[in-house]
Amino acid sequence: MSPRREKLTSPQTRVALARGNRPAQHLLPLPEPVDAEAARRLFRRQRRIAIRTVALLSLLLFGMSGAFALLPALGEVRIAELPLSWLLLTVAIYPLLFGLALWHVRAAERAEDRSQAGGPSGGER
Amino acid sequence: MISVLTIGLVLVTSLAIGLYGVRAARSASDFLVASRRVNPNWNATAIAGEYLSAASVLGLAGLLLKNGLGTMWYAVGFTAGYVAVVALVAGPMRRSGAYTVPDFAEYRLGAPPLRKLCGCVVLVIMLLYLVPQFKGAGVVFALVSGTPYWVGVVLAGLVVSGSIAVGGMRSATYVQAFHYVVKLGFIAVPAVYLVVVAGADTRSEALHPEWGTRFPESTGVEFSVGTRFDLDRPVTVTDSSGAEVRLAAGEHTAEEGTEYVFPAGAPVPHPAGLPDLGGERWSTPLLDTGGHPVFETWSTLLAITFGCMGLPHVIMRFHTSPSARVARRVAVGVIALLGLFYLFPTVYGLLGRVLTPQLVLLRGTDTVAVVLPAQAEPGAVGTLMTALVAAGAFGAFLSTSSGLLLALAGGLSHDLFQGSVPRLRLAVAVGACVAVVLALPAQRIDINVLVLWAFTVAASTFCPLLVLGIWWRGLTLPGAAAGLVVGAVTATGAVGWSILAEVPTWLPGVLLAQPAAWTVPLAFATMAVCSRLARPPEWAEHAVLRLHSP
Amino acid sequence: MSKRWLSRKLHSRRRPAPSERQASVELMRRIHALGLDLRSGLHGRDAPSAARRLRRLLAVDGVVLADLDGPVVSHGRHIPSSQVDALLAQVFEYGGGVCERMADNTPLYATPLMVADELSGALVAVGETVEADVEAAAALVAEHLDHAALRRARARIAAADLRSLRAQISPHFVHNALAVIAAMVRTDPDRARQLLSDFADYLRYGFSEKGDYATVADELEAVETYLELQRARFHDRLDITVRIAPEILPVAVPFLVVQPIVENAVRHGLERKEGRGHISVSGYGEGPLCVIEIEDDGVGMHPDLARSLLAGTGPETRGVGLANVDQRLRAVYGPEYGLVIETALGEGTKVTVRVPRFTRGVVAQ
Repeated sequence: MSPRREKLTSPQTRVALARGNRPAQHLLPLPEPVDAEAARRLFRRQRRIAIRTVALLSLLLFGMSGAFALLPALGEVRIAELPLSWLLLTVAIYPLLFGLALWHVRAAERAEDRSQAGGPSGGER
Repeated sequence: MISVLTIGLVLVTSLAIGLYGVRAARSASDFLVASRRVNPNWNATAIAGEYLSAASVLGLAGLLLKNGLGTMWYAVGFTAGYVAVVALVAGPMRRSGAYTVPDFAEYRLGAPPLRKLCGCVVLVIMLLYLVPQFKGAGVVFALVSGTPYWVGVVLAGLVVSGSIAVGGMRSATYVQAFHYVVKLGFIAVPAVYLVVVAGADTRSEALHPEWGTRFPESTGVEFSVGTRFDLDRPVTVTDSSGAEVRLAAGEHTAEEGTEYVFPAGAPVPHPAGLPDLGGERWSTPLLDTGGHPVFETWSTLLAITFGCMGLPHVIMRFHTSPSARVARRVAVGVIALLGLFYLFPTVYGLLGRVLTPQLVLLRGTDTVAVVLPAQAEPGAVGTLMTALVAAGAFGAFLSTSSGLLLALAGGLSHDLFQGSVPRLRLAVAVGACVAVVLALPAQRIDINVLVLWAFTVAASTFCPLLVLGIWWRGLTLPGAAAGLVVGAVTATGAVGWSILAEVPTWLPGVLLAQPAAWTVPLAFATMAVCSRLARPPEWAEHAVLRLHSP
Repeated sequence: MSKRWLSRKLHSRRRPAPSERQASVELMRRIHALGLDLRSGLHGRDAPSAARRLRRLLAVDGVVLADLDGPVVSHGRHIPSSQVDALLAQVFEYGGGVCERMADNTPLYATPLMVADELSGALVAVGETVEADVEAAAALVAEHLDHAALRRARARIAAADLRSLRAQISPHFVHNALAVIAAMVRTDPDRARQLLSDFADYLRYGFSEKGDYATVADELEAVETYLELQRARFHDRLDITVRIAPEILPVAVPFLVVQPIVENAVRHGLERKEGRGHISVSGYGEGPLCVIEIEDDGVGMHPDLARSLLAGTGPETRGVGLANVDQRLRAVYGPEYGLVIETALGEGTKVTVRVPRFTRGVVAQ
């Protein structure tokens, strides 16, 4: 702001800033887990839920595109003049994706709640 | 003129939000507001705002007009990417506290050397993503102001780096959220207006591609590049001197600079290599540019869905959430916002085929959303609607490329050149310059082709790093490094080859143009196999478990 | 250039023959690898690999490493556990090496592991060897175990160091705050009640033992309650502006890093100023960094004073808070992330905290 102010740092900082390159940083240790066994159980459960969601997502995407390739009739069925396959691709798929994500979040949060209720672990951060 | 004004208004507003929108409180009672956390809805809107790029606002409609309905798989992939993000990375990434992918690599593998490698990959992905944004901005500028393309691109570079330099992204959340509203409004309102004003006949015609595609009125086509095209039936056109030229059915080559005026009702010729406008290949909802529709669709979906989680600027935004749970919920909100937005580009593509089919001949389909409103209703309202779309496209450009440039500059200054003080502004300037230089020769390449390239590289590099890092204890430094290198080289090389050079005939071109189907599994496999070369450090397991513990 | 070449030449003359040199380099490498295996002590994950290496180094049939409770890891030939236990009991009783023979006459040597002059385990070797060799190996193992213990201690000391630097709530402020509230109890009981509850919040945050780091949001809450109390003292002639980009609210920073700077601004910048004072706290993201600026329009300070404060040679009564914050920032993030102070006499002061948004291990609890 004011031109008369002087910019100051500690000598260590001054030297480090003038040096131009950053030395490799020391790694601070990660905090230890509270209950490793419960954490492992939760991890495996979350992984199952994630695999399920990704599998359903693949089924939805690859399945729908596969259906368009196998059943050209989908383009001939018309709902209010719109071909069914167009409708599916440009409108109907979005609620399905949203529902799938919502379902995943519910399942993942329930798994977390259950593990928290089961063990004396800390609060959410 | 009105377009330039609207664009200027969007720019000024977002600068004002960026500079002054940071929560300000003067009196004691307002003070409490300052330390409250970010509202998750704001955050979701901001993510959607940053994510919806020129590829979504301009590219989708253009590609739909050119290649057909299958293009909308891009939009589905862009949205489905967030389902994968919700399922695989949002929560754990937030718990790791990592702001960038290199941060995550450091958290999970404890190896600062990996930062540089990750920094290089960030650079590649972000540049590939930035170039189409600048291309989009250049095209829009050129269209609304009549300046040459390169002026638009350079101007875009100046605007973005300038707005970052003066602090226009200090409160990125509000700027980006504002841009989502701009984009949604400025694409939805003209779209609804177009549907209403088009009339029942045009609407039916748009929904019935099998009726054929004709010029709606006498249309002048000025070929700015040499174009080969096919005619089904002979047509008599008028050339620039006013003389009538009869074009027989069959193949023709229009030299650069040729000008033909096609009479109203004449069938639209289709340029070589493109599907027949409104033909069966066009109206089948699969991506089909090389004769392998299912493979191409699946490979593209794989690239986009898994590429989304590997995009550095997508990952960064989850850092803003106060907790992992909120991060996941925010990502779900993004899906809703994206789904809403993606209802509209289809309108432009479908109507564009009926009202502005000449864009296909001009190789200028990326401009269809901007051109269409004025074409459909050549009055003040049409001009205003065109101005809205142009401003929306500009907003898309501004928000996405600001986010991308910041991510690029962060990677450049923090990871690649480990200067003691990250020289962010310098890095922003450098990044913008490189992107502008690369965007200049990219005028004829479709926005979405370039964006897909970026997604493919992300899906083949950071996606396996994050997924394996989060869900597999056994990932080690050699595995991560080898996978990143293999993924980056194969994905960048394959797509680059297919765009920049001729593909030899013995090689199915689709494998190079849509390589995700093999590069993504290859990168995963490399990481998994090479991880066996070293033993994970003792803290590896609890580094993974922490990512999942509430 | 030529000098270096000459010295290399001279050195090479004194070097041992290649094969001998290779052997000794190989030995050094193996001893170093043994040390790495024992990094986490006898109960570490790599201890079995250490036993394997020891057996190769000693060229014996089998090796057992034991702590005071009994065998921990072994490699090679199996020894009946009753015999091992008996052997260990003898070693631990006499504190010296013991030699026995197995049923088939194979010799068994057991030597105590003296880690830092304290009996803490034993090394047992099975097979034809010399007692002195086993003793040398035991000394090597003991040395490595000592190093492992020292390494653990060093990490503990570093953490304790950081904790000892943890900012304290200043007694000066506690006194002032209570005095202000006391003065208000009669005249404005509602406000006094409100302030008292603010004060309670502030104390709870300041005394919390949850961890070494907090989020920027939490830090700002503490600043907010602090400033609320100060406004009461200043009879509202203190203007406050806070501008924080929401992106940085969840960033983890060392506990009580912002508040001492604000306190310094109020005590040394504004308290001595006539008339209204203004203090602004602003925060925003700058790429991968998080920047927090605290600026006041108070009396400022002499640049030399600020310099000596940051160098740790300033007067003890002034700016202890600033020096402490600076020291902690450097300890956590590295020297280049120390405080930056911009000031001059009569020009107010601006203090800038600039830290990475992510640092491994910095986690708010």
